[in-house]
Amino acid sequence: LESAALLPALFAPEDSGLDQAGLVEQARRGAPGAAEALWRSQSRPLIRTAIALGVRPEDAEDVVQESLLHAFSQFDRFDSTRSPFSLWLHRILVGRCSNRRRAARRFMTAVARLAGVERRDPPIAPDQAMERREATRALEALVKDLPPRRRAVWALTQISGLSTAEVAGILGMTEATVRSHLRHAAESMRRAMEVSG
Amino acid sequence: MNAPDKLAGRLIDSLVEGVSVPPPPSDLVSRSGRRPAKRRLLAVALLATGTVGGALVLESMGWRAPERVATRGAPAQADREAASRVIVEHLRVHRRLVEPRVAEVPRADAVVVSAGDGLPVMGQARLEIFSEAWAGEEEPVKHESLYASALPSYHIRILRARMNSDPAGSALIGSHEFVIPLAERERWGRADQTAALRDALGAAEIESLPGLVVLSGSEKDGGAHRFETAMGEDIVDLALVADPIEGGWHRVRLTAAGPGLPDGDLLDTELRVADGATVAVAAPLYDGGDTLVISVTPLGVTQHQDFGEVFAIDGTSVTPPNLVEKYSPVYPRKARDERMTGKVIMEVVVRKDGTPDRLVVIGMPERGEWLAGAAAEAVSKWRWEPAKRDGEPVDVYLTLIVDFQLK
Repeated sequence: LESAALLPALFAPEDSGLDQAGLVEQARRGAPGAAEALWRSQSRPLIRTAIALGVRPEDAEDVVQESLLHAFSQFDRFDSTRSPFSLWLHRILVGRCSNRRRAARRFMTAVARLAGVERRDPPIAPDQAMERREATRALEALVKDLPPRRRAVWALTQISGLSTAEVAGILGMTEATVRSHLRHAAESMRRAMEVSG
Repeated sequence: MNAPDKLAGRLIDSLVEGVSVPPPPSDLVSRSGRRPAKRRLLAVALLATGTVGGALVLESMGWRAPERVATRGAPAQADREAASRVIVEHLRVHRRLVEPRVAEVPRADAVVVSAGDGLPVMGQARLEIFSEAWAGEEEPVKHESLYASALPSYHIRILRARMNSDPAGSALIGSHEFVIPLAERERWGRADQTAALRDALGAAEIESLPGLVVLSGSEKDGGAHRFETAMGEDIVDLALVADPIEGGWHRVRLTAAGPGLPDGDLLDTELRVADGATVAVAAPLYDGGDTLVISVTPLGVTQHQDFGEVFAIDGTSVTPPNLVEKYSPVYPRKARDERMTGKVIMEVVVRKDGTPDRLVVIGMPERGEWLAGAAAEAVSKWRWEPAKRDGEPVDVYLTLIVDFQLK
């Protein structure tokens, strides 16, 4: 606890809006360390969101890195008066995750069609730890009935803690639709949990 | 948080543990330290329009959009002059006035709209109508706010088609995305587009839902237009990003999704469409085989196409066209529910054959997209006895105002 208190303000937790805004402003002015601190403070929450959105853990680092690089290269486009930095990052991340998922889905479907077989889940790397494999399976079993956009709604609200209004903004839907997706998601996840016991 | 969410959270946390956080690259500061691009400021002024019968003042709006920053306060003289040139050019291009004039308005705040590289654009601005101002009155007799734009607008029509069992229909049902380009003869205002779309789709029945008109917006500046439409029990969320690209073409990206659909990614497609032409995208709905059809027509204001000589009505050598077939706009339910009222100002070219063409929405109330859509749909069906010059029918510009009022 004591050491946490000694950390400079630059390492403020990502959810303290004021400090985050301060960091963003410092980074914009080119203050040494500010951009790096932002990068470091935002990486982990983004990885969490990416996994919740359906990115495989082994791909999460890449997706998050791409999103952060994109964000920092477009820094002058970021308007802090419109949305907090973390929300803007989530918006970028969601776009990347869905592109990737969509591209992967199309590719796998095309391959499956060429091979004349039904599409199957990609093989899991043998060196992957058993626990992670189990956790991935359990997570996928839980969210298996969520179509992509519903899963995104669920991930961003329930896992990443964004508000329905923020999620509506990111996914381009009305708040009513977000709430409706959440209801459906809760229902199908509850069923999935009962089935798996 | 309920039990499945808690479980999911725990599982995700255990997975995050195994992922290494990417380190920032060494040149991160140089990436983020880039200064914002310089923006050119444009200002604004008094526009006279013969047809509105008064003067339009583009006034301060305190409106802010990314990439086009609006600032309050008087602009520098050079900016005013630059803006004046842009406005004159705009008016000249559209020939809304025989002799466009721009005047200083001492009392009005100036609108300062930055235009990036793509000059000339005015962006969106609030229009204040001073109905007697042109006669030299200081005090506005009538004062009204509108949003106007020199940007292209897009007419979006939403239709629900019931497919018959012919091959075109069944092929369509099997796929998510179909793009239906309509032929030249089916240009906006030229034919019944609902019928044209029905034929193109091979649909048995087609039901037209309220459409709307939106102004250009691009994804990068957050300008996607989002709206929703009722499809039976379901609400379908639609998003459109559209902007002009070179050569009189427009890039249009449409996405649609709704909670009642098995796969949330119902439709996500990017199209190119020429000025004034129509493309439609169809996607199957999952309740009973109906198909959602969304058509987009850029109501272009670009200068790339030559439409032959179009005259301005000057009251002497050119006589105005005479409206012979008029349909009242349907007041959109959404607009009625939200008590939206106001004027939609449009300009059309009335062709020698009495049909409207080249509609441009030049003013609409704030958030008046549904009203503008209803107005555009009604006007597309209007027919005129053509304007005449020396007794011969000619194409003319005509400004139309549809006033939506609720009792």
